[in-house]
Amino acid sequence: MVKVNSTKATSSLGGAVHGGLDKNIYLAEVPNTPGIDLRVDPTSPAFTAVNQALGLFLNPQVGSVVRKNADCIVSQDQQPSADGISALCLGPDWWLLTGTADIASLLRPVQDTHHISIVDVSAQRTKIEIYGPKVKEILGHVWEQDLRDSTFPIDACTQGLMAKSPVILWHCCENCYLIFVRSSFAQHLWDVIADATVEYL
Amino acid sequence: MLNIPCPYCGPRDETEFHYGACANIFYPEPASATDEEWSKFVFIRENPKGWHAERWVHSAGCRRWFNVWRNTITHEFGPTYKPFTEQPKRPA
Amino acid sequence: MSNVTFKFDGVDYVGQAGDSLATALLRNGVLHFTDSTYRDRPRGIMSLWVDEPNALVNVDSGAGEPMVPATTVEITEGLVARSLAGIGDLPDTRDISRYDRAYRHADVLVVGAGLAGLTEAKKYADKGKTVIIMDDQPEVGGHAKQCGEVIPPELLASLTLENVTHLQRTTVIGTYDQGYAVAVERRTDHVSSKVSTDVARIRTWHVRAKHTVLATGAFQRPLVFANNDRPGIMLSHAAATYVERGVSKFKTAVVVTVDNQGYTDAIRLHKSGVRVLAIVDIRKKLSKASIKLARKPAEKLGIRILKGATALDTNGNLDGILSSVVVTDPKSGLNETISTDLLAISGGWTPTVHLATYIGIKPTWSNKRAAFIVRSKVKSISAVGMLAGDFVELEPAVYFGTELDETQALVAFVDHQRDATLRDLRRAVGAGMVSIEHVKRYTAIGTAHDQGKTSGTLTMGLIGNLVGLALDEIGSLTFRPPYIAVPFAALAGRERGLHTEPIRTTSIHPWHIAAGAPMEDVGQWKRPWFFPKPGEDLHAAVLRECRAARNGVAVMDASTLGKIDIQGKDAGEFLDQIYTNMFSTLKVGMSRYGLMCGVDGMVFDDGVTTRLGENHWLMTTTTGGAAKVMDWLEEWLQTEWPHLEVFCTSVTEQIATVAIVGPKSRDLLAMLSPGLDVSKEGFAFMENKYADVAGIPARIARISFSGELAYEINVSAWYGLELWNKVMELGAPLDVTPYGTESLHVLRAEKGFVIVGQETDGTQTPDDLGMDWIVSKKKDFIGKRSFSRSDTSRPDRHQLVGLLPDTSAFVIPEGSYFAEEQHKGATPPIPHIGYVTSSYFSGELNRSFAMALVHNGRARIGDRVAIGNETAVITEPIFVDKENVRRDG
Repeated sequence: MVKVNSTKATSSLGGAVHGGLDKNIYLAEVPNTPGIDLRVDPTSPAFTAVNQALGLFLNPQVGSVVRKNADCIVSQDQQPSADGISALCLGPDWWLLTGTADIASLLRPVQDTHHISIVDVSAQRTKIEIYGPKVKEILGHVWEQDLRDSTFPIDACTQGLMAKSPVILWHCCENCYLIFVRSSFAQHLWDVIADATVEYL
Repeated sequence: MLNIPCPYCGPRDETEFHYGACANIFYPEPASATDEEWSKFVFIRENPKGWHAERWVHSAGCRRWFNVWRNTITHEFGPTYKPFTEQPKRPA
Repeated sequence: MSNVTFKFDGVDYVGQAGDSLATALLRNGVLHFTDSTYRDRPRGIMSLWVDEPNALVNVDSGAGEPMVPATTVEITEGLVARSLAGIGDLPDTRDISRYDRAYRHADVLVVGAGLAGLTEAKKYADKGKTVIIMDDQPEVGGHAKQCGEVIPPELLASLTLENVTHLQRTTVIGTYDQGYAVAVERRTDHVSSKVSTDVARIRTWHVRAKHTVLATGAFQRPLVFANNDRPGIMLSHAAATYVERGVSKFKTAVVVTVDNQGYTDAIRLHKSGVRVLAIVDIRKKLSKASIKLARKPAEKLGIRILKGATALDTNGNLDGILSSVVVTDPKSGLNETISTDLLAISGGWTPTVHLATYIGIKPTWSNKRAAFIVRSKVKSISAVGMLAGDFVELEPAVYFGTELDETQALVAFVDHQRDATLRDLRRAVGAGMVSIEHVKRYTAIGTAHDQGKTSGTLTMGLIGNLVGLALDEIGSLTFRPPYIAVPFAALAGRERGLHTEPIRTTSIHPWHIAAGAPMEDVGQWKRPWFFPKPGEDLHAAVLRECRAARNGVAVMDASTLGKIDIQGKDAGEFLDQIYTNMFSTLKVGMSRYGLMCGVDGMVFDDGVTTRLGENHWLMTTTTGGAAKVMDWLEEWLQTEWPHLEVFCTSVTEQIATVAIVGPKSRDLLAMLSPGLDVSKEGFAFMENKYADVAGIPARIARISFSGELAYEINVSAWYGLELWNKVMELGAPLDVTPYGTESLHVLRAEKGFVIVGQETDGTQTPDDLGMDWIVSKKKDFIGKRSFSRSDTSRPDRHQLVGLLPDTSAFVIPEGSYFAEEQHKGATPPIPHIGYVTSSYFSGELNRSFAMALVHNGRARIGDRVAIGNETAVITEPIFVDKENVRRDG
């Protein structure tokens, strides 16, 4: 996986911020977030090997999220741990793995003997954090899927189209969601969400 | 706006899917297929009034192909079934 | 109550805050509202809500809106409105109001917040269900509220629960499959007459509900008699409500009724100080209950009741406004003219069935209710209240109007908006029409702005009388969304202008914008079209860019190409099926161009695929084909060959690709990546190497889409812009020239390289394109079987050729059809023999050239064709460097 050289790397939104942490809504790009798309058949021995290598039991239920050492950062003086992994199940044999751990290095040995696919998708998507007391109302202007907590609780994830842009949406903690959007769509999506905040800020 | 029951993700709006026409179309062995068998495979499809077994792919979601019974008059959806599994009975 | 000043037909009026425009005008004594569309008959306000057929206005203030019923406009300070005789004006200024959209999921959607709807909402809300309740009126309470009843406080209280979303002024305009409903919420028109740009004027709601409760109530219908359309003739419930609101224009009234509703409204009028001269009831005999509930209370107030009688005709003053009603009872010989200000008609209640019919529920006729009611057999839809027929105690007669002669029928109106009369109905039936759908189209009844809200059941009843059929035998009413007229802007919401569709950009986009490059739309992507220097137009820029690519070094952002990562031990075998040529034999580190066909043997995508490792491949597709190819690969892997160990992952945006092109590209690469062996022998055509380029880890492929020596440098998109900047910086001494899509097209066309989607439209085989060389004879692949079909193997299909116009400066417009030479200058119709797929001016050749698909093309090299008044020679489809030597530099 490519290490970020901060003087050379750019991101789709340049670390843009909108709204405020103390306001009805806060929107921020979390730029240059590493990510791996993993494909592995959960009914195969490869699956066990992957779980062992990651130190994590992947959940093959589409829409589930499993974490290791990757709690949501709640205050400014919290630091993420160095070996965190979050696994978002996007399909019955497909996960997005993200976090501070060097996930590709953990998985490469498994590929020597098992049929899995490891693809660096760090630049394929960019990450937008959206947080605030009005987050569900604002997302409701651009997102057609069900946002009720009964259907989409904390640590649920889903894929779909937000303002016609392919995204992964992760309800990561109370009143907070992470949007992984395909990089080329990011500016369009940002503009549409920022526009949707007009009556709330 | 149809609501389609993806067997992996649950019901979703039709804009997340692409239609794959009839289910249970047998892909003939190309080398031994007659012109008629091959043309039937490429071009000919049923267009029933009522229950129709068809394929959908959840392209904006899990990207899985699946089969489902849909009523072409009422747009009700019946049971889904994954590829290479037995087709459930036609709904009443 | 505060006063509000508004303008109507150029005159200033004062109304009360909370008035509808109709109420305010009636308060001011305006009875003659407008004249009818086709027959110029004076018309006045007839009803209370969206069913109003006569009083349409053009609202000129604010965003402006044509053809709005005055009964639904809430007056605001500065409102300007004009009466309409049927046709409105679209505003001639752009609507800059803000409109938006909201999506919601709920357990229950309740449509209508009258007593029935409120009761259902509370029932579900108390169980903890998520409930959305929508009502189109300004205030909760519906029919009951209008009659002055008090809404039970516990029903109102449930509206404020956390699991309840309550919206007034929100009209459900359509109901669709699986519990989907679309509604429009009017948010600012009742607050201010000014344009609203910061707060959404209308919010369109898209709701998905597990269960839908329809509580949409009912509208009254009128009766058909001669001159039944004068100002001063109103539906009885509306008349009573206006009078209760303080409209004092009417001193006397006659009520003509078929049910107990007429009595209720007569008593309301009486209590508000109107002298009710008579209740004219077609029903001679009544049940004991009705006598007790309706007749006795009216008799007690001293109101005269004419039993078994009905209205026959009316008279008007010089302005056509109602002056008297002629009452008749053919059986008894009664024929009496009663002078009156107001004629209030209660022709029966027509439940508002539209939303049920949109989703295929057929209303059923109930004789006891003289109405079509909704009884839902669908589990997820329920109908309650008046919609479900909750008014049987009104004991209506199934009656639509008295016998009329031809002269009377000519002025007995069935559809006020169409000026359609009983005579039109008789003619339709006389012409053989029986079904309501046929009559509707023959007479235009029900097709105007009000969509038959008052005329529907009336028409069916009259047809029934004319042909002797019962109402449930005539067919059923079908309505279509939207329930009321909706501005397109409200449906678009925020999807306007730049937000209509996503705009996709690469990581290098900021440089292109800063350089002032005009952009071309390639699907959803913005790609630089050309990079003009000051003073250059497209033509000049393209000449310069192409010259740089063929003589120096040029650079292009190729990041938009679709890219799919393919891993697994069976990937080679899989690619052998997908592509027409062999891939399993490709060496690690090499790239190969491949063509993809559908099962019908037609080309549908192409691209260069690279073997990165023994079991690791990277496929590229066309920019526009990426999603389609991904679906295609997954379709075969999931539904035909699940035994293959192959995984595909999209990486279109993971990789940024910068192409450096031209004889000096080798020198530039050497500068960007010192230490890399860039020699001709050391870096072969179609070979890949990993190296740092400008300090960025990269995979370099020696691939060419221009026929020149060229390299594609692939890096993580995080470093795309940095790479481009370094190419421009280090390439400056070589005058490195950025080029766009126009030059890209010219360069490849000069070499005869096809672009899928330009030279192809899904009906070309590889052989049609002259690409038989890429079709493997050794293996089977998807689509190969179709090549031997008789039509596909015809020798005279349309084949790809080149065209050189005889006028060397004439650039044939792409898409032009052409004919045999002898048809030069001929007037159509002329048989065509082909069409132009790509056409440009070549700086290299200093002349125009084109690629085309021509019938039996390959056998006709050297022949001439005619394009209008011009001619062109058919050539091989290659124009520059026919020996392909420039590729090695």
